[in-house]
Formats: sequence, structure tokens, C-alpha cells
Amino acid sequence: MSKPRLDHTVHPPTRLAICALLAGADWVEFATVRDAVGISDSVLSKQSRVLEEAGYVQVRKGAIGRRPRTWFRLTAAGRRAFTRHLEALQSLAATGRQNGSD
Amino acid sequence: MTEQPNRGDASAALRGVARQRDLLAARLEPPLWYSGGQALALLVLFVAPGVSQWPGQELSRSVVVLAIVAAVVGLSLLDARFAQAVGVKLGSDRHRAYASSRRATLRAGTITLVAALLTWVVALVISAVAALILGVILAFVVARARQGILAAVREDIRAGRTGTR
Repeated sequence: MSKPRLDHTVHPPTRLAICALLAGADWVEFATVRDAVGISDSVLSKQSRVLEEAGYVQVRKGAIGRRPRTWFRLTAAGRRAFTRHLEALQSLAATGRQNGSD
Repeated sequence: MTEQPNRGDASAALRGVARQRDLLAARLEPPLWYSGGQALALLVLFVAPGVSQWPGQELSRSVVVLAIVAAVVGLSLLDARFAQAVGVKLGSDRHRAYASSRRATLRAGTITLVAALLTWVVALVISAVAALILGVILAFVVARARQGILAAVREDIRAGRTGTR
């Protein structure tokens, strides 16, 4: 079996937090992501664009009444990349623990 | 280029992921207006048989059907409003995505079906008063069972057991 590899698009803490949040749901609204991750609107826009360009995130714009709302979801490729990245992190953390206990 | 993380970085990243899962799960805690609205809609559903058979005040079939349809539509609207309010949509295939919710959904569905059948049988065969009392009790039993579905989803999110869509 191939060794799980870190995904450098997912790895930065802000993008990892966005992916972790999106992985738990189907669609998550802009303000919910912003508040949960604890970042500004502009940082979220920038980071989500990177994920969108990598094909990891799908963006849908809509409105409720006159208020525009943006929703994000992880694509199938995004879910795969996030899962592989988590496996790599778990493997790295476990290896460290094993070495530490030797 | 991102540097290769060490064990400490990996552990911190994993803790960050767990924190986001907890935040998302906490966001899906039903607010009071949602629980209250759901209880009200279920009350209408389960009290309808008793009310429809009240001696001397029998309601026409169309009024009873209208009340039941309104309650079912109300439940759907509440779910949609909840998703908008919390900013999280779980998707129509949630039973595939959240494995634990399958059992909770089956349980809630069975309880709802049995409760509906029971209240109608009691209303038609025994008495309207008994059906009314039973309807109130069963409305809360069904509400609890429905809350179990969302609780199972929250547990799956916390544990990272969210399947592929």
C-alpha cells in the first residue's frame, strides 16, 4: 500500500480548518465558515479561491430575500484529498509517538 | 513550498481538525424555536385523531386532512429554516453520509408510524379523550425520537465518521 502523502493545498492551517468544517456537511454558508475558522471575510475569500482553483471546493452563490449568501462544499476530489491528508497527519503523529516510546 | 511537518505539527493539525468538527456539531444543536415548532407540528399531527372524533364536534375529513398536511409541510419548512439559520446543509443523502443516523431514522420512522396508527385506533375504537391524551404523550415521544436523528449526525461529525457523497 502506498504511503499517505501530505497535500500541500490542504495543509496550511486555515485551509485545513476550512476543509475539516466542510467535510462534516454537504454545504456550509460563508459566515458559518468564517466564524468557525475565526478569519476575516477577505481571508476566507482568498483561501476558498485557492481551494476552488484546485478543484477541492465548489462555490454556490444565492440569496435569501435581498441578502446575498455564498455556500461552500467539498467536491469529491476535495474529500479524497482531505482524507488522504488526514491519514498522512495521523501516520506522522503515530510514527512520532512510536519513536518517542522506543 | 510547505515544509514537511514534524510530529508536533501533525498533532496540532489533528487537534485543529477535531476542534472544527466539534464546532460544526455544536452548531447543529437545535435551537428552542426549532424544538418548539417541531413539538407544535407533532402535537397537531397526533392530537388530530382525538379532536376529529370529539363527541358532538366531529370535524369533517377535509379539515383533518388539511391539519395533517399543514403539520407535515410545517415540519419540512422548519428543517429548511434550521439549515438557513445555522448555515449548514446536511444534504438529502444524509443517511449515506452519516451512518449512525440510519438506525436513528429507522427508529424515529417506526415510532411515528406506530404512534399514528395507535392514536387513530384509540380515537375510532375507544374514546376521543383517550386519543387526545395519548396523542399529546406520543407527540413528545416522536419529538424525542426525531431529535435522536440529529444527535446521531452530531456524533458522526464529532467522530469524523462522515462518508463520501
